[in-house]
Amino acid sequence: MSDLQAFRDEVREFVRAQLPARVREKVRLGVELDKSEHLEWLGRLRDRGWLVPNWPQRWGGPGWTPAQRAVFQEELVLGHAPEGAGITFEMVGPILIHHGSPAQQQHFLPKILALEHWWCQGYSEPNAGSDLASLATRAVRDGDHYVVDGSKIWTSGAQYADWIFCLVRTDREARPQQGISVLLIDMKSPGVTLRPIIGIHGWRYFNQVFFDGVRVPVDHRVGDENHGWSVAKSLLEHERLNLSRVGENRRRLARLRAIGREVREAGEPLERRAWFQRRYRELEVRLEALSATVLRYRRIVESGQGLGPETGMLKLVGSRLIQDMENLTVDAIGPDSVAYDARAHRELPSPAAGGADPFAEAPRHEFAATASARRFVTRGYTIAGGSSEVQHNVLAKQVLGL
Amino acid sequence: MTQITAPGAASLLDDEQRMLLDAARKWAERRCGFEQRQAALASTDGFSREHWREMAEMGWLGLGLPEACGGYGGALEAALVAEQLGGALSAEPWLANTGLAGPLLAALHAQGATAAAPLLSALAAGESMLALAAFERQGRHDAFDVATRALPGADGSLLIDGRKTLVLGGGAARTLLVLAREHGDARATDGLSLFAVPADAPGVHVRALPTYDGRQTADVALRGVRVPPAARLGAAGGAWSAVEAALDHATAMLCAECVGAMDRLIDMTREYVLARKQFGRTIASNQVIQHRLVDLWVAAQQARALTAAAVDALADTAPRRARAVSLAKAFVCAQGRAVGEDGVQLHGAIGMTDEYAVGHYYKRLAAAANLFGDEPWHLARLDALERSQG
Repeated sequence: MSDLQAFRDEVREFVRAQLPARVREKVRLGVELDKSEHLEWLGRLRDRGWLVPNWPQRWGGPGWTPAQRAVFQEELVLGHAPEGAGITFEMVGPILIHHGSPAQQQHFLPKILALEHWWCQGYSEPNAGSDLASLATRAVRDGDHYVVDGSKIWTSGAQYADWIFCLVRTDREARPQQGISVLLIDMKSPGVTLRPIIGIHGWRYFNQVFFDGVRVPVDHRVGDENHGWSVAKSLLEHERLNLSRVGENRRRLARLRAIGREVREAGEPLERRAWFQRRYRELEVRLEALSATVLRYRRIVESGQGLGPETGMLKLVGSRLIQDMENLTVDAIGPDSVAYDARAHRELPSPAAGGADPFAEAPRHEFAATASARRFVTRGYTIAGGSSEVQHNVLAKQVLGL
Repeated sequence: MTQITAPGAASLLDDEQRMLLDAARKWAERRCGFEQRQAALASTDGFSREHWREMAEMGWLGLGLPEACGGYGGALEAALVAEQLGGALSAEPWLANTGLAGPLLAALHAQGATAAAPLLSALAAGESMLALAAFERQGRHDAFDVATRALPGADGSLLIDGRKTLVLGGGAARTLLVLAREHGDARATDGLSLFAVPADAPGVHVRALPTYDGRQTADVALRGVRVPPAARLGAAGGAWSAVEAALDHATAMLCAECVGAMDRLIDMTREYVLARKQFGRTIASNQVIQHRLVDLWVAAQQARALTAAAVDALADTAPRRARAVSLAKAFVCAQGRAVGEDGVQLHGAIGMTDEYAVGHYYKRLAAAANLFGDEPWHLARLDALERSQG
């Protein structure tokens, strides 16, 4: 057995033993987790020393190879461990490690590792979406503080966040991409308010965060004043291989395979129906094409070469693929996927009431209540974090030289 | 409101039809705006009783039904109204009643089921709502896959046992039209009968099952429901052909609703990309965005033409009717959903929010793709129709 296989087994066993059953079931069925459930699982990872696999050992990382990190990620996904703490551990942490001052590192990184600070990301604004550089939230120097006014939008998880990692304009005269700084803002600061935004699936999915004369110590600026753009951009390079969503796509393909066995149509399982077979296999081929490309890029990185803008294709392909996986999941569940139950997004199904319930004998498929909502969530994957249109522009310009 | 539909479309209509279209369009604009629709959805019934009364007064509940029962016009007139209601995402159960239960009763009435007449009159007058309880969970898109049984009881009555799902208009209906099996195997089209069952009859359990696109449907459980033989509408064991025809009628009306929804969605997307500026210019100034809008419009044009052909074919022979309806629905399933997805994408994050209209149009089109036969189901039916023609 290879060392990597032994490592995979170790991770799998850990997930099996340590992931709380309720959390696993919620993730498997696509039910939303609350913050305490996230923290419960993250606490187990922390106790094992696996909370921040992508951080350097000096700051608490386990010192794994890229291949080990990939295996770890894949096993978590396949074992139905929660996703969704990426802003804190994959974005803010690494940025502070690369760009933070020693004082910021000493203060914030241990708080993250202690699960005391949960972060959200304040990039987009009502008039600065794809065109992020046109952001208008301004920070004006007042002695040892900045005074911040403006608003951020599409801020997922802001209702749970203790801190926000925020792009602000510190020089209104400069060209758009200059004059931007990064501030770390305590969400409990006076003048910070939230407006919840309900998504098309009916969940509180985003927020608008308002800043009204919020005072932020100058010490909480990351990097030099007016040089925040390069800090924000450095993150995009760091994140890229993970943006392919290979693990999430694999989980969905496995779910489709199970549905294909369980759901029957015209007297036979879906996996025997020609239309399902064809669409399932097409998705499988696309997933393997994506996975092989990621693997190839990873080997290039391991050989010591840097990766350029070409990795932008991974986000483009992975987000589109996951949307098509979700559409097939909905089609496979069939007409029952159209019925909506607001509770099903937050609560696990209660045990059947038994003989007294006249509806108990014809239960819905276990994915029916959440399949459509999960599908709607993934429509945002080609919009958030650089829309597919922007990805195309970047690839056209930077890779193809058009 | 609509700037980009084909300008000549109205020339295909006669004066009376143009007036009907005009009235429906104005009503949808005045009474069924986005906020009004959201308010209706949030009410106890999930739709507006006041709107329902207005629709009855304008004669829209009787469209395509026999004149003797207060009906007027034919399938084309019904489709004109369906398109406008679809364009407004109307919350009222028009499709469940005038689109589905009405034509079914009308067909049975024409075959001599006199008991259908008072139900039709009450429907057209807006006094009583109906719902067809045909689909069952195991049957998916096959309405003939019926495990619900109607067996003879001791005193000449019949006892109905079974479970129905996605009963369109099921929560508000006073009378359920229950498709039950009197003989034959679970998937046989022969042996199915239709029974008019009061929704409050002993043994009838109705549980609301709203859809994500704002339609009211229900799960219905029937446990030892006792009905007299007179509750059977039409011939014993011979209801399927009328039910299939009514489902085709409703499918064509659903396509018409989707055409209206696609038009509105494309309109609002067009307006959005013309107004929204990023990188110092409107999004619409990017050629790739222009081309995508054109592709959406092209899809809607074809959906409209196929739907019109399906509506025309509703009075044709059963195989021709089925083919025309399946062509339209297969196209609308795939293209309607894709148009909705693109509409959201072109809006960006705001399209992902409940407070903005485009996402609701997308959801209506996405739901339609999985109701009354999905794309694979209609493609398979086209295949089967051709083979059965030799």
